Amino acid sequence: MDEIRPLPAEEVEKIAAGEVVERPVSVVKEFVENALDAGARHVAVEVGDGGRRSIAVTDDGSGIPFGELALAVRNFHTSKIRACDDIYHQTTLGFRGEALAAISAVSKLTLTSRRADDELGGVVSVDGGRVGKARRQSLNPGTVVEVRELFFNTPVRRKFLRSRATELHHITNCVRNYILAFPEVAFSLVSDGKPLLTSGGRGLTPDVLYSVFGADVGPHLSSFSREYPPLGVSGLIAPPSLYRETRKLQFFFVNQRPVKNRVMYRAVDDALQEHVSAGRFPPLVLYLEVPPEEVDVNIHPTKSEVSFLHQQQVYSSIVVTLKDAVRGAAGEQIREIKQELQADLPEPTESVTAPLSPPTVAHPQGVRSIPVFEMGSPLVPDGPSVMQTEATRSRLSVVDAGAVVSLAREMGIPSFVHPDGRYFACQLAATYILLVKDDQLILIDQHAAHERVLFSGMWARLGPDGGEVVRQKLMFPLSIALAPDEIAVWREHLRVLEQLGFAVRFGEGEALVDEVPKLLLAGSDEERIAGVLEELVSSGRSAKLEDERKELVAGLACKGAIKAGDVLKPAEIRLLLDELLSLDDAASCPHGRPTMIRMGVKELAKLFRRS
Amino acid sequence: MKLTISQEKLSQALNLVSKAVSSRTLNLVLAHIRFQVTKKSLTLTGSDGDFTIEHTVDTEGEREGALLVPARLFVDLITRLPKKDVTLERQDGMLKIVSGYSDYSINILPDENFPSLPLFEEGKLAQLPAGLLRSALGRTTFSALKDPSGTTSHYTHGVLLNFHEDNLDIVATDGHRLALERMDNPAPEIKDRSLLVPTTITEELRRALPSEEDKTVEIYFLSNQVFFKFDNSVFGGSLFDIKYPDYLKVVPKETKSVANVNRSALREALQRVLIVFKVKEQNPVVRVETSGDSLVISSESQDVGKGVEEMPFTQGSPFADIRIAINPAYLADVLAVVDADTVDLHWTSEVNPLKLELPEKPGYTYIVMPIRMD
Repeated sequence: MDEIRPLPAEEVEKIAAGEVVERPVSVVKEFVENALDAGARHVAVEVGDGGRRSIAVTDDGSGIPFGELALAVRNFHTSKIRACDDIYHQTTLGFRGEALAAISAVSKLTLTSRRADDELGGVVSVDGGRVGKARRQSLNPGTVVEVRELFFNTPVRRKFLRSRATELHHITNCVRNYILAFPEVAFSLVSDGKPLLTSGGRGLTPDVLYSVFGADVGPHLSSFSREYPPLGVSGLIAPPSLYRETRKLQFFFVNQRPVKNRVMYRAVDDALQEHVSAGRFPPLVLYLEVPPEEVDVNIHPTKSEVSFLHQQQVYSSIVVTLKDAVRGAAGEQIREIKQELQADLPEPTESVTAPLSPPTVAHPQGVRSIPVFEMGSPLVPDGPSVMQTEATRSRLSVVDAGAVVSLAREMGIPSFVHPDGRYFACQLAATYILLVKDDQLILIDQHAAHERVLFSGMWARLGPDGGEVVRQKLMFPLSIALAPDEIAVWREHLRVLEQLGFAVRFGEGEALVDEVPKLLLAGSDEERIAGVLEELVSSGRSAKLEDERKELVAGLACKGAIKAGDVLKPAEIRLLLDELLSLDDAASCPHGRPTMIRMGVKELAKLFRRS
Repeated sequence: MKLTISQEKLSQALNLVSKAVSSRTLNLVLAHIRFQVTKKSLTLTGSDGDFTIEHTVDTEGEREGALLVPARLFVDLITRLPKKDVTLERQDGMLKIVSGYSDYSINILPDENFPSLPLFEEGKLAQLPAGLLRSALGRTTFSALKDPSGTTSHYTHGVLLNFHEDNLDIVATDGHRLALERMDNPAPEIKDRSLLVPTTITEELRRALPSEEDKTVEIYFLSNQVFFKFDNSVFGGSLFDIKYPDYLKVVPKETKSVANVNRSALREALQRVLIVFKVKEQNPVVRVETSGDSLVISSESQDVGKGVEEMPFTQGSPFADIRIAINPAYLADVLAVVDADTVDLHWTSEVNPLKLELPEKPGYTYIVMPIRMD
């Protein structure tokens, strides 16, 4: 065996570089962060061959003094912190002082920079870690870092690079993140001379959202914002029906830093569970503001993983904020459907004047009745059949509709036409309601829809503010072990706990719970009770407690709702639709299943692959 | 192994021991019932690996032997056979079952690795009339919870048998109500021993215990396991090795007021007021109060409506007007299982537990924790 020897400094740098620089996107990330830390207002990213050939980032930030150019590319040289402890009240994105050095160890790097006050800038080149001599040069203020032939001296790593498309995809995603994190900075991403992303630096304007989220999501995002001093939660959310199967359109930021964090993921998923099934992810941007000393970003050199000092508090504030936000977002869509179905009354046509209500029989120009609630009478003897209906007709004419209903009746399908021809609806397989209107096809799950209707009614009566507080006295007090400082915090929250139905007193190193809200049932669920209490103490509100209540009410609603397989009378269909559409959060049942699916001509064209 | 036995006797015994066979098990052996035939008897054993029931039927065995039969299949088959004699015989590694025109051969396992019961030569703790234990369990077990998973040990998942000084206390609680049956200590030499028996065992035991006065049940305690031996049966399993809360502390010794009420009138009234609560999970609450010479029970549900029930009662001593809110199901539960014409309700205040006692049967106490409504 060979003797143990220290590795040459060069090799050490190459190895260390591996941790920071995994692929071209790591370089983009480090350079963009440096630019942002330098106070840039404009950041331009240009890549060649998915970053495999070249990466250049140009900014108009503060620049690097000529004398420090050569130092900047040395390992653990930084101007951002002076000592390790500074990390914990650290407001710049980078601080470890290893990025530039690490990247230059495995590439051919050129750093050019000029401070606004200096007459001349300077340029320094590094070739696989060998730092060249800095030269003076005349430049625009700001900094340009350019990297060529990444991993040219580590062939194995180079081999592991993926295709141009894959690497470019990562880079695009990365720039997207910074566009969202720093809406006040103008970004551009150019790939092989082709512009891919641009943002104007004037905030998250519609065109920015369009370029980040695409045409189907961008216009439907609604914003939210809440303060829980010292925490702040804000962001944008799309209606849950626009979900994706992965998190790719969910963006998470902590103090403007793009992050991955399980606590945040879980909070988001828990908050949205009433609106989407598990494994579905509505598009979302979530900004979390946390005091820098309460978040640790130094877990890994790429800093994308963070951990929080007060996880529970972070969790609760996100859950509480998002629960309200998603209700608004889901409501947005329903409002659209409602507007379509209710707001636009038909212009009176020549041939037909339809009665609004009550649905009495009208006989204009020889046309017989339009049955809405009952279908006993014979229908439209000579009206045009459904086949003859013009495809481009913008509104169902009552005459045509009558024919449809009569056909449906012959086929044993419960159906009806809205009295003024707004839409035609029928029941499908005794399970779904099919609603046709203009160029829209809306499919409704009758059980989910009724469940939502019942739930909303019950929730209003039994809900968080509607129900009176009923306390069950426990036979044996429940003991929760607490440290003295925790006891002090709990004491501060005694009033809140009391209001919600808990009676808590304190013993030596423990809290003793004598009464719990009747909602929390079985005596064996001590862990659950303790969990709710801890949540209440840390955030002043318990999403768990509310969930408990919701689940109870949802269970009642589910039992009471019509089931799949129940044949509905036309009048019942009508009633269900009216009630459903009167709700703000009609888009999903209380368990998160969708109540309706809307298909416009666009979606249908897509299904039939019509371009 | 060969044996002929009446179908009725066999299916009765099978039904009994199959109560201990768990429906889902990873251990194939435990999905079986053990068959042991001797010259004089047939012994059947069912077990979930811990909870075990063994039952012996006096019958003449033609050929001795032991084997394991698949529990569900065998029970399904035997219980559907006509009420005639059944002949069981081991043949070519299978069990041949013949009865009338029916003829079956089913796969079996050799008698290996099946949990076995101790010999009961030591560890006998006490002996008491079987009927006494049966009725005591009947008045207590319902107050405890059944552990749905069968894996967590919690004091609400068991029934406590507490031998102390002159008494044997049988206690069960779910944390909101508690039932206590106190009887003379059948083993006065045992001054301090408490057994926390899982509800799964007490529930089956209660059903199987004979009610006859002259039969006895023996209780064995062996290395943290308990066994109840009676008639030709043994019920046994592990005890919960956890601390039971101090139940005597929550039993109010003195109360401010006593009202004596007709049991069936009260029970029927409670059953009626429960109707205004659509679903039991909704956690019903009723107010129980005295007004003049009536006991008034009123209920109100935001979802359905309200109801008021009035009934006469007899003032006890001492007496003061009663006013308390409770979960009516807790009170209805106990009224369904106690065999008494009247019950005494003991009350102190809205925040103290309500105590129920039976004037005809001292030694029984039932406690319901109150509900506070703002």
